[in-house]
Amino acid sequence: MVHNNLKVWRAKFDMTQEELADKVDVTRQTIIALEKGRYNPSVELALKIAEYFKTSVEEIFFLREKL
Amino acid sequence: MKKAVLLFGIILVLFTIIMSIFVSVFFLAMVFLFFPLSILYTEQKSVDEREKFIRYKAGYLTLHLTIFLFVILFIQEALSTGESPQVIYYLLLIFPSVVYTFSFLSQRIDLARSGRIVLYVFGGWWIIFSLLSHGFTISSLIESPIGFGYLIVAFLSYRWKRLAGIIALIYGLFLLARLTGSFRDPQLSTALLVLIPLPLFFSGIVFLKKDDSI
Repeated sequence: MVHNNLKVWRAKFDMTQEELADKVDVTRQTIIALEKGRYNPSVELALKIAEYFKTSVEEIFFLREKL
Repeated sequence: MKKAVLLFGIILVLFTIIMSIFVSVFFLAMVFLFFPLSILYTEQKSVDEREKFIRYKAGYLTLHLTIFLFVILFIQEALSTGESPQVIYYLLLIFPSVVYTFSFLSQRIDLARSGRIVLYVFGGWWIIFSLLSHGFTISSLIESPIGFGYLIVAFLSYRWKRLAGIIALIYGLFLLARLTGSFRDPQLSTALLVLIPLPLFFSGIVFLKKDDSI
């Protein structure tokens, strides 16, 4: 399972789920599912999100929960 | 909702009303099937990747539930009549399997594996059909060598791929020659002549082909 700290990054940029969803061309439900870890993003979506936050994919998505 | 979809829906509803008044009420029933389906398919492009993934999962589940339903109908027909079910029941069972098998095989998976999958799927079906046709007896197992032949070729292919390929082709030709003219019903004859040897020819060619997908 892929873990992520999308919620943290979204808070850093002071964005709502709806706003992020619009920026990366998905629905708000997909952002909710990503944040709750119920859905693994495609490479394309992961890259889009990382590009939007101007960081690398590994900073947002990772295989093990960060301690 | 897109304008094109809305327009299509309005035309369809008008067409249905006219047809149901002047021709048959059957057309009215059809709109309840086609209208939601048309919306589902025309909006396919506007959905995001997660929804597409959910739709694929839903399609996969639907396929298995449909096959399960057909199996129930098939068994019910066999038990209630005490005879082999009509050809349409065999085709209803085989058709989703064929579409599913060949659609995922078209995604360029490992050739030998795809050959084996075809043999397992069709071999399995023919054994089930033989059991149902002969009333779940031991003799029906003895009288159903076609399906077991498929499975034996599939097992052989794990160790001797080329040999399995040659055997599959010979077995397919043998069945084609043996079965030609053996069925009185032309509908059944055509369906079985295509469905029985075809998987063997497919797998035979696939086993003999050099796998260059790596």
